[in-house]
Amino acid sequence: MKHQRRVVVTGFGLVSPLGNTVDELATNIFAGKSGIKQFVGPYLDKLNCKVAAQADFDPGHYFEKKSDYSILDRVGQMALHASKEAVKHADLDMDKVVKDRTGVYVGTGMGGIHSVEDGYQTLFVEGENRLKPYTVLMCMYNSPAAAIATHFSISGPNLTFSTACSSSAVSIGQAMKDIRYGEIDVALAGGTDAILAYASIKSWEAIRTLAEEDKEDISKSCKPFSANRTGLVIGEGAATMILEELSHAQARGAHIYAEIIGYGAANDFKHIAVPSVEGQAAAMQKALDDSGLNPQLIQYINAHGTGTKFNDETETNAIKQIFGEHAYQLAVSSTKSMHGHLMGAAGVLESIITLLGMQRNELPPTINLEQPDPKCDLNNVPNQSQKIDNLEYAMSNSFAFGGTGATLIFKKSVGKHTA
Amino acid sequence: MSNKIATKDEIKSFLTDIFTKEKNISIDKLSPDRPLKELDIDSFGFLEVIFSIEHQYNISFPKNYEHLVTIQDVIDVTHDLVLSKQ
Repeated sequence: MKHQRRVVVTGFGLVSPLGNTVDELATNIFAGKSGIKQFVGPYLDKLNCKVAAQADFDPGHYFEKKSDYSILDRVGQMALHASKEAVKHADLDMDKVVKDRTGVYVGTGMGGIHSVEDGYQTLFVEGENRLKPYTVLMCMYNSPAAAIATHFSISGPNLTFSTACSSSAVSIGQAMKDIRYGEIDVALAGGTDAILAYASIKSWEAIRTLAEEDKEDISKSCKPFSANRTGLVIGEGAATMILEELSHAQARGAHIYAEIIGYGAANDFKHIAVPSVEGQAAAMQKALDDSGLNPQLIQYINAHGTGTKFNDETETNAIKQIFGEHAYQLAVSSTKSMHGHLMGAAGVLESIITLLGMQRNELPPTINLEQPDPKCDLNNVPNQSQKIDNLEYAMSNSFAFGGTGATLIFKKSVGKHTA
Repeated sequence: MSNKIATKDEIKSFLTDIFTKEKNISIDKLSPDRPLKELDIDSFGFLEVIFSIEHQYNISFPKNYEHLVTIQDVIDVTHDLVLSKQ
């Protein structure tokens, strides 16, 4: 065992385009259902890209009082709800945890962008000269983490990570390290993003990475690893994992979903937005080194798999570079084909899906894989989930604009692992 | 935002609405001489009340309004600000 203090996942909660409970998410993912639809919101007629993966999340339905959520941006509302669900799912009594040995780690790419846009609308469009008193508290990037930490009276680290699309993989990795190195025993770690607001969508249109609408079936617009892929579909949501030091989880008899045995973060420095094989491979290699695991034992990779021309080919090559011939033995799927790209919540949602796959011994599919791309020639679990004897070791990749790549490695059982 | 000058009674009734509907304060607590500190609203909650008044009457409260002690003080200052705007 490489590290003395081991870190396990004991529960999770989420808000996603495929449902707001773990059961709904699992049912939809393994049935290969898409949560991608036509965007519902203001300025629809002005959008060139009308495809989105929105979460069906009305805060009034989930919070007791309006005052519990009216001071939070949608990004914070979703994160707080996901965290409350995660605590319940882990059967964790927050009155019994040591509050200064507990931390909150949240990733978000664009923070309270709805509130930023609402503020500008008020000032520039409506010509008003004052903003709501809570505007700063709604816009600031650490607002979701603060809402969670305040709700549970947590006095340990309260940290926010913003590394674009890898934000929540980074938050989980950093939380894992803080537990491993003895700073804390429990973490609420995950991410959140709600960027489906007009100006924000326009900025994504401008960088020309968004998928074109599938004219026959809009729900099939995201086609990772398929030769006819045209880009990513923006999704929104939040997810939180409960991480615990192994003996802490065992002492309270918690159900353990998996151990996090490896985390690697590496910077893909060649270009701010164009991924490189070396950059992506470096994150995977660092995670493998951290775990001490023989790479041949990895059975499944939940890919970053955005559905852009660049990413999917680069990621395939990076996997080949790391795993050699074994790349053709393991499975690599992109569940973004179903839930879209949750940006700052992508890494955590995809990690949860990976753990659900471990529980069921089932590999989640890449749907809409209509035309095999010779440049993406690995087992991408096309269109239907695949059963597997025992899914014990899996990896989740998150890469990002800005360069921060992050890879997490999970092991299902907490017995000793074979190095 | 109304164009005619608001009376103190109208301001009082607007304030009563805000306190009862948005801040869940029972109406029997809302006598004009009631000190604001007894209303169980924190400083941020009071900021929201001020924001609603400013928005309603298109006025701006001074940055520091610690001299406002009672509900009547808020009504009086609001009325003065509405008048001085004319």
